[in-house]
Amino acid sequence: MSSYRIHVTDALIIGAGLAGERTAIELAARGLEAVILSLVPPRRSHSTAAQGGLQAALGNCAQGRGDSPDVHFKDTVKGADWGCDQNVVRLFVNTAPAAVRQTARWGVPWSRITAGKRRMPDLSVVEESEASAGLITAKKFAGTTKWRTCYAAEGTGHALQYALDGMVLSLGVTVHDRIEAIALIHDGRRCLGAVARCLRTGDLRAYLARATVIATGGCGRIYGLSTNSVINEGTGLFLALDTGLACLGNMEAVQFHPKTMPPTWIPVSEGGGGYILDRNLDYFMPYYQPKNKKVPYRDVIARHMQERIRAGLGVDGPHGPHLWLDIRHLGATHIERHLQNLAVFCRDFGGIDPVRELIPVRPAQHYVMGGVRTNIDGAVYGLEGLFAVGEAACWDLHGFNRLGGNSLAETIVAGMVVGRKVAEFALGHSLQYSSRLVGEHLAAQEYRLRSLIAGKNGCENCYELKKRMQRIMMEYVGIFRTGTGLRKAMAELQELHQRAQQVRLVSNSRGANPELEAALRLPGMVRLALCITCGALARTESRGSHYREDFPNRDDINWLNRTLAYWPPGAELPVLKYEPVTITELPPGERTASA
Amino acid sequence: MPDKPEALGPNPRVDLYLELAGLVSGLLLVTFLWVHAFLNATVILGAPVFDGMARFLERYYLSPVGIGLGLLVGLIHVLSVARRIPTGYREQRSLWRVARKLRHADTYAWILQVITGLIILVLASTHIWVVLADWPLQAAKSAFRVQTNYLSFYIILLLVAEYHAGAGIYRQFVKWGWFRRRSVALAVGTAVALILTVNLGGLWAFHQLGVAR
Amino acid sequence: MGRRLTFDIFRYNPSVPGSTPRIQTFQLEETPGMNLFVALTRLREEQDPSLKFDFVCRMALCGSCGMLINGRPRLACKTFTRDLPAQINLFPLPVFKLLGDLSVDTGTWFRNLALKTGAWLHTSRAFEHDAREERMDNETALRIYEAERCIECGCCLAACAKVHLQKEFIGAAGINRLVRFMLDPRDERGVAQYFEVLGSENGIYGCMGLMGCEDNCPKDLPLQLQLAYIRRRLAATGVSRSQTRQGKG
Repeated sequence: MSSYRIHVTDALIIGAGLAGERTAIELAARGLEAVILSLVPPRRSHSTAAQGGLQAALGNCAQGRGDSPDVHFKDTVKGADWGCDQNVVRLFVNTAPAAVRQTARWGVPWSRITAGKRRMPDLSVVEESEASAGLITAKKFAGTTKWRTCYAAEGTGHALQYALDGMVLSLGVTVHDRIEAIALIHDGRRCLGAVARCLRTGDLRAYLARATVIATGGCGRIYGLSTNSVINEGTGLFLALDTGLACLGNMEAVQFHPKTMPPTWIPVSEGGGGYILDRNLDYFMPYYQPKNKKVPYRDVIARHMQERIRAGLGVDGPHGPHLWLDIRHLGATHIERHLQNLAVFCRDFGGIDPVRELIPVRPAQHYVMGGVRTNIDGAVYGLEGLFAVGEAACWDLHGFNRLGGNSLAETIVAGMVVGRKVAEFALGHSLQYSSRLVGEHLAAQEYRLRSLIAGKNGCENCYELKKRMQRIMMEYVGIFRTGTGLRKAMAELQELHQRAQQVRLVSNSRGANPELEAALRLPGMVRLALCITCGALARTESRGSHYREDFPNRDDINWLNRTLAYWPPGAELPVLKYEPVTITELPPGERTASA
Repeated sequence: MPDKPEALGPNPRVDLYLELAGLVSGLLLVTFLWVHAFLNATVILGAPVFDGMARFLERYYLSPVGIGLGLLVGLIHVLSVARRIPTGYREQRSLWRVARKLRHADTYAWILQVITGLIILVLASTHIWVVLADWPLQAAKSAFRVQTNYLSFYIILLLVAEYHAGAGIYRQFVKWGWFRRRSVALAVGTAVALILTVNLGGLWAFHQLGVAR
Repeated sequence: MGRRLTFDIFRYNPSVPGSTPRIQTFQLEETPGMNLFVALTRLREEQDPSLKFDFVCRMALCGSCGMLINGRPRLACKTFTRDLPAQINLFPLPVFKLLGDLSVDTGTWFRNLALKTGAWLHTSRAFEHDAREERMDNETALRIYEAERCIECGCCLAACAKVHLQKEFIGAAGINRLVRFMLDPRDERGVAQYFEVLGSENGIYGCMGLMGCEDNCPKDLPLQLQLAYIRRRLAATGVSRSQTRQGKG
C-alpha cells in the first residue's frame, strides 16, 4: 500500500473547465491550497468549445436597455419551465453582471459597444449612444426578452478559459492534467478526496482534501449523437452516484441542439435567420422566420424537426436521415461577416459552402440540465465536504430547459459563489482520515483494474456495449419519449449494465490504454443512462426538454418537483425520490417564447 | 520584473544588436551590390564611359573607400549572421528533415540563402582579389577576364549574389515589415529581375568588347 | 463504394520497457465526409483499441489533435481524408514529449511556457464588485482577440526549423501569446518588461523568418504581422533604452 503516491491538499477540484478553474481561483484568492485534476490540459476543456456567449443583465446596449436581473430571472424561470430552484436563479441573475465584469479585469476581450447606427441582417437599424460606447455589448439569443448575451468575438468560451487559466497560473494553483478520478474516498459521512489514475502511466494515486469539488461537465457522450466533446462522459456524475450517498437531480432533463451537422454533429447556429427544409424542400416551420422575431425555445425547434424526420420526410444522408438548413438568402456578405463560425464549420467539417449550398442538420444531444444535486451553496446532498459546480451539478438553475448562454454564465457565477462556500468549509473543517480507509479505497480500485487487465470478468467488447447504449439512448430516451419505449430502454440498459461488468480488453498494453479507460467508465455511464431512463419513465408529464408523447402536457399538480436518483451499492436500478421545487417569485404560468 | 543588473550576465540587448547588425549590414551590402551593378553597366554605353567612370571614382578616392567600407560591412554581416548557420551534424540533419517533411518553400529558401552566402564568401573574395591585383580598373582588363576564363565564374557569382540579396531583403521585410508576404515577394522579385537584367547587360557588353577586340 | 485507405501509423508505447518505435499499417474503407477524427476513432474501436491519440472537441477549438499528416503538422479533426491520397502517414508532432503513438504532451509544454513568460494579465488593481466595467474600444478588443484566439495546438512549433535547432526558442505560439498582452491596455507591464522576456535569441530575435509557422497554422492566424509588430516595438524600446543608459553613464 505504501507504494501509492498520496497528495494532501486543502481542496481537490475534479475538472479544469471554466467551473473548476473559477472555483480554484476563489479558493486560492482566500489563501487555500487547491489541486485541480483534469482529463486533459485545462485549455483543452470542453468549455473552450462554447462559442455563443454568456447571459448577464448588464443592460448596456440599445437593445438591452431596461434589462435587469429581474427580467433575466423571468426569462430563466420560464425557459426552465418552472422546474428550477428560484432561490438559485435569483442568486445567479444578481451575481452574473459582477462575475462578467470581473473576468474583464482578468483579461477577457469582451466585445464592446461602438457608438452609431448599425444595420441588422433583418434590415432593422440599431443605434448605440455615445454614452454607452466602450461598455460590454450583448447580442440576441433564443428565449431572451432583451439582448443580454455578452460575447468575446467568436470565441467566448476560449477567451474565458484562457483568462481563467492565466489566473490559475498566477495564483499558483496546482493542476495535474491527464489524471482521472475514478472513485471518491469517503467514510460514509464525509468525502475525503479521490482515488485517481494517471492517464500517462496508468499509476494509481490518492488525493486527500478537506473539501472536494466535482466540476467534470456533462455526460453527453451517453448519446450516440452529441455536440459534446469526446471527454464528456459524465465521470464526475457517476463518481458521486457510486458512493450510494449522493444523488443526481433531474437526469431526465436533457437538452437537444436542433441543428447539428453530420458526420461529427457539430452545432451550427445561424441565430434564427435561416429556414429548415425537409426532403421535399418544404419549409415546415411557419413561425420560424427572420421577419417574425419570435425565436422558439430550443426544445420546441428540436421537436418539430425530429417530428419531420420521424414522419419519413427527412433526407436520407450517408449518416442517417437529416433535414436542410438554408441560409443562402442571407447573402455572402452577411454570412462571411456575421456568421463566420458557421461558415468555417460548414467548410472545415461538413465540406459545404453555406453561401451556395444547403446544410444538412438534425438534432443531437447538447446539454444535461441534471447533475449531482447540490443545495444553493453547491454542497452535495448526502455527503459532507463534497461540492459540485457547472454542468456536472444540479444546482438547479436550468430546471427542464437551459437558456442558451446561461450555462457559460453559470460556470463563472457558481464558481464564484460555491468557491466561497468551499473555502468556508475547508477553513472550518480539518482533514481527518485513517490510512486504513484510504488503503481500502485504493485496494478496491486496484482490484478493479487488475481483474479488468487479467480478463477475468467475461468476454464482452467495451466499444460494442458503449455503442449499443448510445443507440438505445438516441432511440428511446431522446427528444420524444413514450412509456413503451422507455420501458424497453430500461430493460435493455439493465442487461447492458450486467454485461458492462464483464468486459474483456482486446488490447493488453500497459500504462496508458484508451480501451482500459473506456472500460472503466462504461458501467458508470450505463448507470447514468439508467438514471435518465428511469427518471423519464416515472415522470408522466412533459416539461421543458422532457417530452412524453403519452403525456404531452405539463402537470404542475403532480410533477412540480425534482427527481433525485440514488444508486444504492449493488443495486440494479436507481432509487428515485422527489423533492418540491422552490417557487418564490414567479408562480407557474404559460411558457411562451419571448421576443 | 526588475531590471537585471548587467554585471550578472551578458548585455540583455546583445541579441537585438546582432539582429540589427545583420539587418543594417545586409541592407548596406544590397545597396553596394546594386550601385555596383549600375556602375558596371556603364560599359554598355562604351568602354570610354566605363573608364571615365573608373577614373572619376579613383580621383575622389571613392573606389578605395567604397571597397574598404564594403569589406568592413561584409565582415560585420558575416559575423552577425553566421551564428544562424547550423554547424553540427545533428543540427544539419534536423534542419533538412524539417524542410523535407514539410515540403516548405520558405524553409528551403532559407537553406539556399545559407548556401549562397557561403558561395559568395568564396567567389566574392576571389573576385576582389583578382580585381585588386589588376588595379586600376579598366574596361579592357575586365573584358579580357570575361572573354577568357571568367565568364561562367561571373554568371554564377551574379546569380548567387542576386538570389542571396533578394531572399535577404524579402526575409527582412517579412520579419520587420508592415506588409503581407505576397506583396513583399512581388516587389523584391521585380527589383531583383531588374538588377539582374542590368548586370547581365553589363556582362554581355564586356563580352562583346572582348570579341570586338 | 469509397476508396480503400491505407494508414501507416507511428506506434510506440514508452511505458513498456524494451518496446521500440514501429510503423503499423491499417486499412479502412473511406466513408462520405470522413475526416481523420472519424477515421482514427474507427481504427481504435474496430481494429486496435490500444491506439493512442488525443481528441477533445473535434471542431478545431481545443487544439488537442495536432499531428504530422503526410509530413505536415495539421489538426486531425479538420483534415478530410478526401483531401489526402489513399496512402496516409500519421506521426506524432515533433518537439513535444511523446506520450504514446500519436499522443504528445503539448499541455505541459504550453503550461511551462505560460509560467516562464508570465502569460496572464498583470494588473495590481483590485476588483470592485459594484463598479461598472472600464471602457474599451471595440477595435482594441478585436485586436486582442485576434492574438488571443491561438488554440496552442503546437503545429507552428512543429513547422519551425528554428524550434528544432534550439529547444529554448518559444516559437510563434509563445510570442503571439505575449502580443495579446502587449496589445491589452489593462496589462500594466511596460514594453521594457516584455523586452526582458522576449528580446532575446529565445524570443523574437531567435526567429529567422522561415514562416513555417504562418504557413501551417490551422487557425490562419496572421503570425507574420504579429511577430513583426513585436519585433519593432521591442527594437524601438531596446535601442532607446540603451541610449538613455549611455547618456546617464
